[in-house]
Amino acid sequence: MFKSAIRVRTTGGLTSSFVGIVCLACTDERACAEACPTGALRPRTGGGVILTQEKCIGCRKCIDACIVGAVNFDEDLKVPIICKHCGICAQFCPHQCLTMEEV
Amino acid sequence: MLGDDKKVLFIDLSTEKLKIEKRVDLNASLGGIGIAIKLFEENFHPDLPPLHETQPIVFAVGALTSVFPVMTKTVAVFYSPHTGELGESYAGGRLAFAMMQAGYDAIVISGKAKRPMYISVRSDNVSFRDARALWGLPSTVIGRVIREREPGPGKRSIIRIGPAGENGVTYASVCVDTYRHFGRLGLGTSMGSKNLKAMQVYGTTPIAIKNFPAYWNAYRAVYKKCTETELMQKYHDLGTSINIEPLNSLGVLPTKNLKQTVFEHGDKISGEAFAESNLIRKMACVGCPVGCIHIGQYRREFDKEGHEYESISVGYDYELIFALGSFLGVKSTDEILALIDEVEELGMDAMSAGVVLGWATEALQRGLVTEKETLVPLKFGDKEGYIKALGYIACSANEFYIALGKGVAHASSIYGGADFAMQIAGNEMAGYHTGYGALVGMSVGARHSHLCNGGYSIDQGLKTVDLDVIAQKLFQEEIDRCMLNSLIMCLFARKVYDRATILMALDSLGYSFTDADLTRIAEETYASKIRVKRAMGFDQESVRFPKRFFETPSMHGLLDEESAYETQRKFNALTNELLKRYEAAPAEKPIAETATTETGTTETVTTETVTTETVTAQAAPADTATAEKATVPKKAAKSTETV
Repeated sequence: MFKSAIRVRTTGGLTSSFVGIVCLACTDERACAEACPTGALRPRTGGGVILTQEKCIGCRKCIDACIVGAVNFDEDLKVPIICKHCGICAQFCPHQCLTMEEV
Repeated sequence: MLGDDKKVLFIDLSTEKLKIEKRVDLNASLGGIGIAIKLFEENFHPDLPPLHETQPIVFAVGALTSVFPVMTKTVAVFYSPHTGELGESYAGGRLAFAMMQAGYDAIVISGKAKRPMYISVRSDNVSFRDARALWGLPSTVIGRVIREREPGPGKRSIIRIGPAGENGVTYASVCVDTYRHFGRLGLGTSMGSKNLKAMQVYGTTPIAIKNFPAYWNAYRAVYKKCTETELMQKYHDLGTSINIEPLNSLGVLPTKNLKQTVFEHGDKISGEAFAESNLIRKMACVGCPVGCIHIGQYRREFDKEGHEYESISVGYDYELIFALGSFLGVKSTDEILALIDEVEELGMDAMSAGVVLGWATEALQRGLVTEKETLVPLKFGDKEGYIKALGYIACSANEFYIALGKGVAHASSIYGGADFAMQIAGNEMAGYHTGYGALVGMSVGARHSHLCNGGYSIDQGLKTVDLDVIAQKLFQEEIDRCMLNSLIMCLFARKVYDRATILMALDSLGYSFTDADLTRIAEETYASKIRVKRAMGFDQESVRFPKRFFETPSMHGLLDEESAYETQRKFNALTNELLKRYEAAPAEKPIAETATTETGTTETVTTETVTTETVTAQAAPADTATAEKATVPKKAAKSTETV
């Protein structure tokens, strides 16, 4: 769970709302890629970014740059966890809270 | 965890010391109740009272916890202050997931804190925190205070007790993550007696899946069964409250202290009625794609002057609607939610609380007690009186309410009225008067719960009443559920997980269990439970049923008293037979006995090897965390267990 790009959590106890924090797939301007000093994040067609692991130095600047908090860090590999928009999470949501949309 | 050796955390509240054991010998028991009962059997003291400070509370998770759908439960085993014998209770929520992430298969808590305390369990530390100011507060407040003080927002589990657990009400519950509970048999009382107000569990240990493709396929197959078939659909739709309507129509819904089994206002408190008027949200335990938790909302006026209102959200389920609704003649969804909320705030088992009040109402009607004792004019259907009475029980308002706080068996032994004190073996009845299956099932069930063997379901499947068949079916189900509760699944998923599915799931994680192993684990676990119960002085054949059970018709008509006792004897004969088999070959089935010295060295007396590690507790600032400092050589664990 701590390796996944989506985070589902409460916003303060179980009486509060649940939130699913996931990459919004920015298209025109990508703050995470802009913040990357080594060019390890490049634009992905359809939105979001793709990580080139070899170029990443684990500086975490992309994490600070993402204003919705959708970039997490892999403490074992020392690289950011970047959403691939593969749609697996939506496949395992039984109640249409998560769905895949064509862009 | 997950195919590795079982890891057990021991916490001594008296000395604030910790001990961790790697238990190779427990690997063959799957987990859950399978290991919890063994750890309890090793550590409890049958000669001392249930609330003696040396008595342990064991929490355990199972072999498939959180990594397969609907494997959401944590088991607690303790010495029940309510029945004076085996305490066993299950709760969902986040606890199982949090324990797994903290890296522990089981947590054993013993001793007594010098002052009110809460503990925070993490993979790298256990902290003992001051909870003096929290003593007396309801569980909702405790959740908020701990949430604000401890790390792990959104991922942790916080379990806590209310005032009832502090004041010795023997059926005090433990609230788990706001909407789930260790409800029955008084785990809250045990925690309260240890000055333990709450426990938070939090961890971030990654879960290693060795063969991902196999796991992926197995998970997907089970997930589809849970979400795309009708096996579990009803639990999400209306939830368990869906049963009110059919069970009322069938004439098995205990109403007004079981004077009747059809509630004339049943339609006003049905699952449909709750959904239409109050349902605002559905939720799930961690790892469950079904989501049976139904939250209802009602409006409460908190100040009569100036139209001051607040909206209260309360979880509701079938058993609560029965106990605080039909059983008390309460006929509106708003009133039932108000009663559930009160029970929640005070921290008691809703089922026992409702049944206790049902008896008290009839005792007052019949003149066994007067309003001098009851303080309020208890009357079927009168919510206001019941709200007040619940508060009187939790705060031990007078001798009568102290007696009510120890259950109907106790109260009726003082004031009379045992014939309509609706308990079985000291535990208050569940919401089914279906027949011999439900009645005898609760008596012979190891923890006297309707969930031990599902007797109510057996009754509903019977065309004709055959006592041998009933005893046999109850026995089979009782044994089988010992295995299911070692995984630990939510029993709502029992139709999803047949033997083949369970074996496939275990296999995908690298466990090598066979069908015969599952049977052995189930039987061993059951034998262990019975040994514990008998050591505590339990005698199955001395259990007597209150007369009312034979005066109010079930779905199979009026039950015959002698037939009920006969079924009980038949079941007990099956138990004795099984026990003989497991006592006959002790060499093959060793019970791990570890002799642990004060410095934490562990010796093994059987062929299994137990490894003890020391814990490095990093004392957080302003914390009183301490740990076992003794250095113990790490022994190579070798298992000679033949499975």
